[in-house]
Amino acid sequence: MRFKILFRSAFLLAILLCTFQSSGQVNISGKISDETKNPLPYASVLLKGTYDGSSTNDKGEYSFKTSEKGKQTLVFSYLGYETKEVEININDKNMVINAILIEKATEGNQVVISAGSFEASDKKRATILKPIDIVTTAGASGDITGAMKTLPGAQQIGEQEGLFVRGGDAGETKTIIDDMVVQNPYFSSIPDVPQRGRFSPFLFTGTVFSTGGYSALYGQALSSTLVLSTDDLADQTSTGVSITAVGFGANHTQRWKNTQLSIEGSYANLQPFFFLNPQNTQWIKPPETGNGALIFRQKTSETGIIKFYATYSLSHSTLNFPSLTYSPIEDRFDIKNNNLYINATYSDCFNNWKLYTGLSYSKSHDNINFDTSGVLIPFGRTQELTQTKIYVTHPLVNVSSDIKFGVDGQLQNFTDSFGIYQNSLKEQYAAVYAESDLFITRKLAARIGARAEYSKFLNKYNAAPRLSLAYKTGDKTQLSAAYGEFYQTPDRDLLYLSQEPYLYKSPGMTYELATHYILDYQYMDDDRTFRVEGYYKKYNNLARVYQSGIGQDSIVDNSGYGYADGIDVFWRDKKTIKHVDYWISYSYLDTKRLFRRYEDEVMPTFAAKHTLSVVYKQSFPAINSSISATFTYATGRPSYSPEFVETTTPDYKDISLGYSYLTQLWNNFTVVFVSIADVPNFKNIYGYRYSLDGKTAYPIIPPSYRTFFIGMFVDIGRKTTN
Amino acid sequence: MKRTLLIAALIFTAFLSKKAFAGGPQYEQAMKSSVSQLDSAIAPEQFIQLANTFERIAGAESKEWLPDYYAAYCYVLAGFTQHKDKKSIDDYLDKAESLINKADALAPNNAEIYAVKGFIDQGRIMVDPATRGKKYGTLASQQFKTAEKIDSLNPRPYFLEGQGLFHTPKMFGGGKEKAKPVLEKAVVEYHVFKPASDFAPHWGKKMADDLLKQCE
Repeated sequence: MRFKILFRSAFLLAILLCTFQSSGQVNISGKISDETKNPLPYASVLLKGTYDGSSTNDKGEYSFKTSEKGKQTLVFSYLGYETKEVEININDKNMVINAILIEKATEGNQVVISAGSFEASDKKRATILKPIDIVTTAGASGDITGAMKTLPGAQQIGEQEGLFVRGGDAGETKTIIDDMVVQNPYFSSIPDVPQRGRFSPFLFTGTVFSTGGYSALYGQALSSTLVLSTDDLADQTSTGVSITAVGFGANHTQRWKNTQLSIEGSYANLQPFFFLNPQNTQWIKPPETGNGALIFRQKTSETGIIKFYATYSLSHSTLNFPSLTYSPIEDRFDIKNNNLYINATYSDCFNNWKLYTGLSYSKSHDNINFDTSGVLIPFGRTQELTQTKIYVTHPLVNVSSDIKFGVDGQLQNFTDSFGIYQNSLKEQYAAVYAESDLFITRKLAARIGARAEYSKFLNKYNAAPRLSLAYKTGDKTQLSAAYGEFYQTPDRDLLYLSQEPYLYKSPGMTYELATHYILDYQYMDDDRTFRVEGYYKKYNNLARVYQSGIGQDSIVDNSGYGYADGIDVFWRDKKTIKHVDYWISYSYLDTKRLFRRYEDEVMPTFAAKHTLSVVYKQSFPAINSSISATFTYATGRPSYSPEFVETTTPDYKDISLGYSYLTQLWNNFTVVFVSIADVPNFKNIYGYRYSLDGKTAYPIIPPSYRTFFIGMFVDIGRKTTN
Repeated sequence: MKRTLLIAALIFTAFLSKKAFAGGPQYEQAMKSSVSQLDSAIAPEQFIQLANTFERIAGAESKEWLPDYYAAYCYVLAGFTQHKDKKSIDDYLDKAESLINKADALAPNNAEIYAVKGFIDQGRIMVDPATRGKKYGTLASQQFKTAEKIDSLNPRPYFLEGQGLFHTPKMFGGGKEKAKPVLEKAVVEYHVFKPASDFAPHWGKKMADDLLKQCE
């Protein structure tokens, strides 16, 4: 018994001794800093797999004791930095181990490839405009294009829809939805009355407006792309109703776990709006539009999604305008349009490959009756586009870098009829492209791409290199440069002429070409952005129709040319004044071109030398209200008579105001908005229309001067709780 | 004798290889002390240091969900309390999200975990309320609903839901009147709630009381 106790005590003593010896604790200390030797406070250090470790103090120093012995792994980590593991061998001596951690490349600190483009997105943190800005900008009247016109690079063109970018005409800008080209992004043209975009800004969560040097993923645009992307599944089931001075609309979205189905319909009739706003345009039948849309989205896996979007619209309007001949009887223009647009895409990830496929179809038909001096001429216009797109993306070396390969295919059918004459054109177009985003270091990135195209109509190939570089010069500043060649098939009205051997001589047509050179400096933090961009754009092979001499043959060819250079400046500040957000855009543009029916290399009618936009928004949270004001100024633009005599319009000025009020209507989230365009009644003149003999010039003026608009939007399905 | 030897052997092996037998008392001790420090922490630096500690414990205890859970919660609080810049809030929340997903994998269908998930979504709104409010407000309320479905007696989902409603403008479906009944429910549940251990989640009671007072 005694022996037993003795044994037990001895045993315990042995254990105690043993423990004491083994826990001869060692102190490990050191300093953790970043690459520039700045200490990292509150960083973590630990011995892998044990409880031992510590955090650094505010000087980046740490110290802890451990009883572990032998080979161990010391792990240093700090938020936003690469974790570092160090193998150590612990014996009885205290150790000093310093570590330098390298900052992780993230969206926030990494250089961005941005030359030439403005991005509006919810997903990325550092963007210039948010989708909501599109809706709340006075003067934009809720139109995407209207909001983009407040950014530098875009011209203030009031007599025609579209984006006129850096000396390019509207046809040089392509609108792209979910990577698929949109054939008719605007409602059908009416002479001198600009049309709105067909698509509501609420459809999109991302917008990239490229004013030059855009990606090899897209082609057939000499100047610019407006890339719109839709969301994945909607957040929730909801119903919305809108009532405005021009009509009403309703939409419903049903959301299941992996599926979304939305339907929407709208009707617009401008009659009541015209009652509110006296019109300069002599409407016989104010525009009337009906529109229906269907959206279906299905998540097929964690990463895969199918999206389907279809919309159909009908519109009709009639107006009179002064006769182009001497007739005292005015000309009458009556247009009926129907437009179908279908877009289906599927994307998913397989291992490290990201696949994107798309199929889209659109058909637009205009039925126009033009009545001049009692002679009725019917016009018909049918445009049909079927396209497919497939591309794959694969990451390279590090996660940020990747490479893309893809193919585009398009089938186009055009038929234009004028009285008994009819022109039609079939086009088959194919493109292959490859592009790589390379993040060489965190400070230096390059986008290298190339695109090759084939047009069956032209029976010609082209190959276009694209290059974009970006270098981070400081924490918040970067320098970017871009170069690229951009090809576009000439407009179809000129292609028609080239098909008329009895009327026009044509050596055969080819692609028009623009070469872009861009240099950009940008400062960007959370709430302030400054950007200045200089560019030079060279135009070659512009399509042209001319007479080689008096009484000589008419020729259609690609002998046109031109250039555009300028500086775009942008400043946005959301910080300095509380609840105030404003931005200032200034564009200087120097451009001349010889193209279409121009007789000389001159400044085109859609170019103003100086353009300035100031957008101001202020919110008053206490009264749930916000106001916005937009001031726009552009110097006069040239106009050319049939004898090619130049006249310059007066400067363009506009002040628009908007007010919106957030409230509840029967417990539903409601926005009421009021806006006034051209508040001071500046009575702008956009250009001149000449009689056929060139002796009389009619000023082209807006459909109405000071314009009031009022509307209300009710969000019914907004279930929050219970 | 045999028993003594066995115990001795056990103690001995425990000392020899801490790694293999790290659970038990050392885990409880470490958690208890860290959670009690967390109870009185107020500054972002404190939350980050505690998150480091919890992550250290998580590294040594790969089967326990609470260390990851607390580390995530500390990063959310660090995000809410820091005033450096808005961008870094997202960095904290990204980190919190990866930690809470780890906890979720260890302990699926846990109301506490869904509550913190919703808390992270609420943090996202802070970065840019105008554009993110709608999306993340909806996501957060979905997380709280899930948590309430799993455990209708847990007070934290009600508290966070009430807190969200309290800070949501009235016309977006929030406001004091909407928040009040939810916070009242939270306060009632806090009153009867018994944490499973000294270091099981027990935060939020005082904040719920204070917020309810502001609703009056």
